[in-house]
Amino acid sequence: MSEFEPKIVGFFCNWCSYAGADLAGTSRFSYPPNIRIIRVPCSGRVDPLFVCKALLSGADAVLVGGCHPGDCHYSEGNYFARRKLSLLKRLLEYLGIEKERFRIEWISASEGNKLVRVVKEMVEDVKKIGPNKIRH
Amino acid sequence: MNEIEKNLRDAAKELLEKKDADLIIGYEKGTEEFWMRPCFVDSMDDVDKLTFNAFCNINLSKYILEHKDKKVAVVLKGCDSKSIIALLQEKQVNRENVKIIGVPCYGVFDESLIDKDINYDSKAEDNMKFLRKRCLVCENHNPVIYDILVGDKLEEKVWRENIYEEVEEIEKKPQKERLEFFTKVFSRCIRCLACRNICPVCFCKECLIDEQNPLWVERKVGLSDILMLHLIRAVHITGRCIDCGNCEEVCPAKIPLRKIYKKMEKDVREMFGYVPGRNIDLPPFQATFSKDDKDEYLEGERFGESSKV
Repeated sequence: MSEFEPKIVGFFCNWCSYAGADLAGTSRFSYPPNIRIIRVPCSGRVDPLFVCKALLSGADAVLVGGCHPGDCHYSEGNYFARRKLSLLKRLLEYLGIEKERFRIEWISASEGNKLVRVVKEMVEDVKKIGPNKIRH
Repeated sequence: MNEIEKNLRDAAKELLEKKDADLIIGYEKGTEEFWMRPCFVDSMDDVDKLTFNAFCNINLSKYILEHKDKKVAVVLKGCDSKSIIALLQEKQVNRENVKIIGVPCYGVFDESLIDKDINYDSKAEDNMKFLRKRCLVCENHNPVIYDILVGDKLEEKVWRENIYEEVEEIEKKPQKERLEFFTKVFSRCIRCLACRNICPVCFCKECLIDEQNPLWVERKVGLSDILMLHLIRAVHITGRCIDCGNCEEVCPAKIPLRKIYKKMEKDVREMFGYVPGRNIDLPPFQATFSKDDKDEYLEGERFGESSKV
């Protein structure tokens, strides 16, 4: 049997993380193809329930990428995201969902290499804990 | 008839006489012994139905939402008064239309625990072992806001030393056991939505749970959809839930829902220093942020830390 390849859903903010992924591409960095990127206008658009729904519908992990605090294109969207998602992070852990399955990173448009590093790390982590068993 | 009951009826009579309120929402004796049910009094003849004792468990603030167009007076305990603050913060209730009859309360009894020694006039403070779990960790025995207070103000004290004991018990378990525990309790859910319908801070006309497009909660039978349902509730009432405990009490499957909502309350308090249902002038928790929120919270939990605030 072939090795387990995790499916990771990435919610990337249009102005920073998505551009960061673009930069990684144009600079010819390669990152694992396990991540499926969904472009959102701002990390503040990421409803905590998007993350829940993704995890419960069979995604092995979720990555949310946004601008660094203070750099938001809409001034304060990522501050809202930080508050909501840090609460969700704790809630999911409390419910017994492995903490490796949900990650939030601030990745700016110039940090293509950080994006590559984060995705590689995530894929490695999720491979260790195995597929998401919570879906039915 | 105890003193509070007498004061309550007098206050109700006065309100109706002066036309300060068209409708009074309170408690009356139900069909079974020790069951109190909500009652709606709009004429002087019915005022004597009103009652109050340590079995008045239901949070009446939800009923205000059904009578928004009337002048309403409502009987609220300490915990219930916090839920009306949450509703006022969200601009769901017009303060001018509502008269709050506050009742100090040291706790209400759990019908499944009581024994023969109990009667209608039993005092909560003398029968601690029959109190509901939420009453043991209650921090507001006196109503936070009120127009009329019936009965004397009580001394504020929490029965239990650590109010997050229940939550910390689960936090201490390893990840596998936590998942097992919640999988077990949630697989009992029959999706009757009683928890949502009774919740005083769940007031959306169109609920995400009923939504067809997008379909958040699928109609199939499966744990993932049950979990989604309860995650929707937990996420939405974060920062509003004031631990009135009614969701858990109406649950036909006896799912310990408070264990989740109390956890959210604990996190909100620990991380952002916000306590729901305390201050009417603050904006709703989920509509605010602070630039000082810490980035390390995104790393997740560090279980075992003390919960002192």
